[in-house]
Amino acid sequence: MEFIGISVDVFLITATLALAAFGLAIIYGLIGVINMGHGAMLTLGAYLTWFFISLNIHFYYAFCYLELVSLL
Amino acid sequence: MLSGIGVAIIGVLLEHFIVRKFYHRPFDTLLLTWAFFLITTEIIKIIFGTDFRNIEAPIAGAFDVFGVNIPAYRFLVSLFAILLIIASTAVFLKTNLGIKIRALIQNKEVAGLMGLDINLTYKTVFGFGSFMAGIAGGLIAPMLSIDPYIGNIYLVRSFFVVIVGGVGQLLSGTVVGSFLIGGTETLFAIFSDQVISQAAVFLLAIILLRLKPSGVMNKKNV
Repeated sequence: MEFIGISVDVFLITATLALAAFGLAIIYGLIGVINMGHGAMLTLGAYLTWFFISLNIHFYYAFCYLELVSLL
Repeated sequence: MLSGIGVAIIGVLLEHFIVRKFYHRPFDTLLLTWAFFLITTEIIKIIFGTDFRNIEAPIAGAFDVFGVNIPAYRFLVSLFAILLIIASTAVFLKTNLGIKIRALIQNKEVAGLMGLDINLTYKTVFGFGSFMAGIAGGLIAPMLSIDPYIGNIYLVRSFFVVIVGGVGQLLSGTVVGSFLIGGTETLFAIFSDQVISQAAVFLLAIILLRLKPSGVMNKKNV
């Protein structure tokens, strides 16, 4: 039981860390720029998410709005 | 999703105006992006303040598997992360864009001579990396409270992941690297305290890099 709990924990952390590291892996691995700004981009993503949620932009409405604008 | 696009736009702007001029000077880009980090952190502090903020997870609750409690949101994010990484690797290996990018890495001059728009391809890659960073930030945000320094923690860990896993090995390198780093950290955090687990991660990174300087998953074909 203990073992399953630990392995689930390791899996969750692995996936989260891989998600965070993947952008850095792309930029560093493909174009060779060591992107120290990656942390700032993560923070920015988190804050923008908070911002959009606080604005109560429902994703569906935003999408409809974009459709409308592109039609005009 | 919106935040990912927002960060991607900022990343492309940064690339277009500044980083573009420094591709032949790798160590200057390090300083440059560090400056970007400092400036962005300060701007975030000015706009949003330094206090902690919480985002409620869109999917609350947890479920039990074999008596183990798994938070539903973290589990979904993990699945999503794996899907996203596999999908991006498929784009990189199978599509036209991936071929262009690989051609660019192999030989910049020849790729340019063959009529490949080098600047545009660089911009695409940089924008995509920023997009991934933005999405990652947005998805991680509900797991912990946000303050202007959460990027710091993940920046250091991400560096270890990329370097231990092997630079340029997108799929295997990232997954194996984060498994090693995350696994070590979790195990040591269970059996001892946080500080020792951090030290263990550093030690592991040093030992692995001593034994395999180009990363665990990197074949020596350079």
